[in-house]
Amino acid sequence: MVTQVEAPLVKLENIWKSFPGVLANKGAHFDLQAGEVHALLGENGAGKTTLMNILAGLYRADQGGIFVESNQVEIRHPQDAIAHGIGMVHQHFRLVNNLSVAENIHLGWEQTPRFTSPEALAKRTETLSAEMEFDCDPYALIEQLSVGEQQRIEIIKVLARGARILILDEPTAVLTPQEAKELFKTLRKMTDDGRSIIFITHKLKEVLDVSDRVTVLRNGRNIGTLPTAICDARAMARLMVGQHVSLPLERKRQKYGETILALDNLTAKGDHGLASLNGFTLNLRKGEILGVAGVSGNGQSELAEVITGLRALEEGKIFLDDEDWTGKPAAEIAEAGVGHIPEDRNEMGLVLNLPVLHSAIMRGYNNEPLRKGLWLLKNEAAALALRLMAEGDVRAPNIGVLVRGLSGGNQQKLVTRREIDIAEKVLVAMHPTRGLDVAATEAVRQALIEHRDNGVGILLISEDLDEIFSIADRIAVIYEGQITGLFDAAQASRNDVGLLMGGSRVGMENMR
Amino acid sequence: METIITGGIWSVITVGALIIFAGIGEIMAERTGVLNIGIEGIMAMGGVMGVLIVNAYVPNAWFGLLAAALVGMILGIIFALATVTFKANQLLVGLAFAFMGNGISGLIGYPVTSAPTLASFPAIRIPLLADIPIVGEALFNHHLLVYIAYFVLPIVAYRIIFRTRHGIAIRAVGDDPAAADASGISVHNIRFLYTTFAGVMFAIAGAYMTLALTKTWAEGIVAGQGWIALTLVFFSRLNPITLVFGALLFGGATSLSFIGQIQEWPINSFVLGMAPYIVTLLLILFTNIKLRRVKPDEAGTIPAFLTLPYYRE
Amino acid sequence: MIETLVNTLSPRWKLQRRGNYSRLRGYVFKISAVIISLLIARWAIESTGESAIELSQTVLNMTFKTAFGRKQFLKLATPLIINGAAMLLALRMQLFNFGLEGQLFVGAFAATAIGLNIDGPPSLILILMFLGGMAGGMLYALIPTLMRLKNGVSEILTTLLLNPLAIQFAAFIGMDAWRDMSLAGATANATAQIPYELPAYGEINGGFIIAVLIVIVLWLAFANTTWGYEVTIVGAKMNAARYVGMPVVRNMFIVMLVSGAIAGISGMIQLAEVTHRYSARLSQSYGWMGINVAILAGYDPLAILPWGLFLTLLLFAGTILKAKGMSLEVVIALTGLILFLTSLGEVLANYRLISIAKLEKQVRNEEDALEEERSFL
Repeated sequence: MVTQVEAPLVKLENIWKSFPGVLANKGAHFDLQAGEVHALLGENGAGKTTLMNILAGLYRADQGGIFVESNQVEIRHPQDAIAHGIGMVHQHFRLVNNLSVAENIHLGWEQTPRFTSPEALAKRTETLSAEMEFDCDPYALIEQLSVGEQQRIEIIKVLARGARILILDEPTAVLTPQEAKELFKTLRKMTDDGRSIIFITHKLKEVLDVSDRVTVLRNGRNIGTLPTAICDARAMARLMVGQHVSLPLERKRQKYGETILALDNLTAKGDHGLASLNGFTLNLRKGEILGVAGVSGNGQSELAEVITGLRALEEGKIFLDDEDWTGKPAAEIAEAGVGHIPEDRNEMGLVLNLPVLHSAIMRGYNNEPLRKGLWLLKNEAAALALRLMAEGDVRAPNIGVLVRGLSGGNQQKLVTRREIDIAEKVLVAMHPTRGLDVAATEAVRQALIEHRDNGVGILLISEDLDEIFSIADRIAVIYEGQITGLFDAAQASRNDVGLLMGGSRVGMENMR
Repeated sequence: METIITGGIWSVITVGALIIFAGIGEIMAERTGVLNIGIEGIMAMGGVMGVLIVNAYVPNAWFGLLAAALVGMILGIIFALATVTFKANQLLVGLAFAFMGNGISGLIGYPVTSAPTLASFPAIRIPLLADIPIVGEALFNHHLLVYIAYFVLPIVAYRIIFRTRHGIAIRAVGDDPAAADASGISVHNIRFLYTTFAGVMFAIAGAYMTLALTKTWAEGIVAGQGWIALTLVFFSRLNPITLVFGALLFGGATSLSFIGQIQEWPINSFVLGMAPYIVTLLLILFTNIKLRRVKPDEAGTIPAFLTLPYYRE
Repeated sequence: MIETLVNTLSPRWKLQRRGNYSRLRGYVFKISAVIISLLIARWAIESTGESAIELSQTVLNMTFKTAFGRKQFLKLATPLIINGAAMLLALRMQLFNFGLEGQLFVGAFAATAIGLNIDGPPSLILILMFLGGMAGGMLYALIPTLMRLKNGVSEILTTLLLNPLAIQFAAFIGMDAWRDMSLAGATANATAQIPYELPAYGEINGGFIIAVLIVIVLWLAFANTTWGYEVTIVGAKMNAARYVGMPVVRNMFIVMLVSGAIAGISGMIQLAEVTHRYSARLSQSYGWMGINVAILAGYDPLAILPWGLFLTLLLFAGTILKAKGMSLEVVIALTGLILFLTSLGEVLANYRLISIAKLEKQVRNEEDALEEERSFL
């Protein structure tokens, strides 16, 4: 158990860290007691990951000090952190896809024998994983494993190197509810063995379920550290968000229109050649926001790609406004009024290294009024860009600055506005508010609601139940490439949805 | 007839050794994610250095080789500083080195242009094996460097990459530098090391060429061998053992054209001269067809992070 | 690591990566790279006892003060500018067409075939030769393009192999298949003379005008056409291009082939204006120099002209130096040095030195700005 009187095992004091255009930590402080599970809570952009990255040696603070067992230490490198027994499991795993499980575990570990062979490494790996009560195939390549399995490998890696202090960054983001339960059991076992755990999360329930103490970060600062026992969800939420609490957005009683997008028995393969959509059937109506909830990796990306023409269907049909649009190319689909807010705006939605102008006209460049024969009319292009920026409240000095100079929120607002502009019939939005601060999140959600009120059908694909429950009119659950549940938002319970996301078949009574 | 075949095989092997020296260096560098297209330039510098030392100072080929290796190391360090430390564009710097190397070597090579080198490497004849009819003399009567090129370098390189702890680190650095960095590996240092090593190897290849193969220096004598080595490295998919086969294949095709000329085969000598390139191209085509269906924008089978500099916050 | 270096040396300063990009800064660094290279060249020349100033005077005089010099200068600038354009086009799409040299030779070969075997009025034949040059270069570029698009083979690899192949073929034609037996000595090993010549306008050769036209067309295409915009996007972020449905594969195809066609044109021009015979000596690494020009010009087609002319001057200086008994290699090395320093300059343009005091002030300002933004909620 935790004793309050001891000096903290680890202490971070007055940490400042900045990146180009962003100030991530402003004099943040944090401390960890031995043997506790300490939750680090905050919304996206509060500075939690940055702070922990500093502790784990990935970043170097501009200012501030790190203390381990009351001695100030320099942690300039992950190896320094490991030397102090601090190991981190990141949200995006640091595993090398083309190497095997065994090779990954032995990567950068001085206990690895100098001369190795695949067999020798495999044997050592089996020994290690047996100790942790995991099992894995040491010869498998990382890219062949599921996300949950990869996370286990990451944990083995860290524990094998003697980490007594474990930092986990949003570990349940990629797990089903059942896997998350398993993880928490494992964490408890580790603290019983004398280890200490910090885990970063934005989910209030997790904090209450599993932690001994919780620290809330907001805006790069530590707002407060409290024993979890005396906290409740509301108090923590208020700390997390400050006095700007998002009011539940008004949901007008909707009169559903006809079906605008019919997805019939879709089957498609993912990048790894395995089926990711498996007989997926769903109808989207005009003037509604249909939330598709699911843990990432259950076919969401492929769903968005298939609808917007970026991926081929093996079987099934897509009907847009009662016309068969199966297999049409992306440009035509966009032309027909289907917008797409992509899951990774940096990967697809925007071009970071070019001016805002280029990204703003990506949809409109090929039509009048911007296009005349071969020519792209500069004035019209600028006009379009300025209009989108004004309508979307995108803050930038002019349309000539590079997109990478804009904040994440402004980038997302740009993409959102641009897609809404062309989405006359359907808008496919994939976690549109992920990684945004409160102001930007509200702006985007508001824009989606307004657009829905214009009679457009919006497919909101997200793994964030807060996002879905706050604006969706109907909620569907996707699991292993199929719809396993469909509810009116008013009748949906988070519990049921959570269970369905995890694959169980309970809670189908309220389905529509 | 037999002597022709023997001679042919012999020359294939000696020319192939050149590719192997340069190629192993480039393989190690590319495994860590650094692409050096300036092989030509550094080879030229090594080549001219070798001859200069031998003709002007110490008539001992090993000294020449050593001097060349030193020059190669310096050039390798400069390249590494530019591309790994300062993260300049690898293709640009490589091209710059190709130009600079050719130019500067031509400049300082003036005094020894076209003069025969005064020393070379002694051939070492392995007794029993060399007595095998036809192939014996061709395979086992070579300079020490050749034996090193075929029997030592590829095997050592292969073992380092695939059978050591260090090798895991090398591959991780090339495939996913962020993961490697997070695992405590110094991406910068490993890249720096092997980029420098590559420079040494290129210079050694150049000196081998001028001291053992052509036995003279002239401007432009490298004549595209550096580019050939580069293409064969790509072709080998960064596997040292496959590189040896590629070198033999290319050398074989080249040799065949010489034999054809001497033997006055009915095939035009120029056509034979084009043979090596055509053969290599065809081979690349066929080996790639057998691979999985590749998306058009994937640039082949090189480590994911080749040419991309790694930034740490 | 450089940050570590700087940080240890001067604890009051810190290297910070820039968040924005200024074209002006890019130019400044490039010009500095050239100036530094020239200074180094000057030092190298002076150490051999020659006076660099006198030498440059001579070069400039011989180049610009004589009609012959001016004509030769423009004739040399032509292939550099054209190949620069060919490479820049490909680079905009992140396609590394290192095969310009080979495409040049094949284009010239097609023009030779037409010029030697077809009779007719000169202007018609010249047009046919021009088209032949384009077709030859285009077809030769087709091979690496197909291998890339169908099999994922890097075009770096294939174009590098195709170059020596084409040159070997040119040697075959010049020394064997179509050899003009009446030639001897230095001009031997080439084909018969092609009786057609591109017209010149005063001192400006026709090829130079074509070169300038090509650059202008390229510039117009990139700045003002939808196709140019597509190429820019595909090159900058292929996934974004695919996401909006741009025809990525088709554009890659077109760009590579047009790039090859342009190189082929430069081959035809060399043939019709300079050598008049086809041989392996047709190009003195003009393709490579063109690549150099394109790299220096960066992403701006119009910049091909000044950089092309500058590099021509350097090469020209090299030939003059050679005639005076000095070496041509200085100039080649110089171009390499400029390239090297430019690539370093590119990096430096992305970092800036900032004092800790200023950093703190910056931090406070940003903090205030963020507070303001939030208070509007």
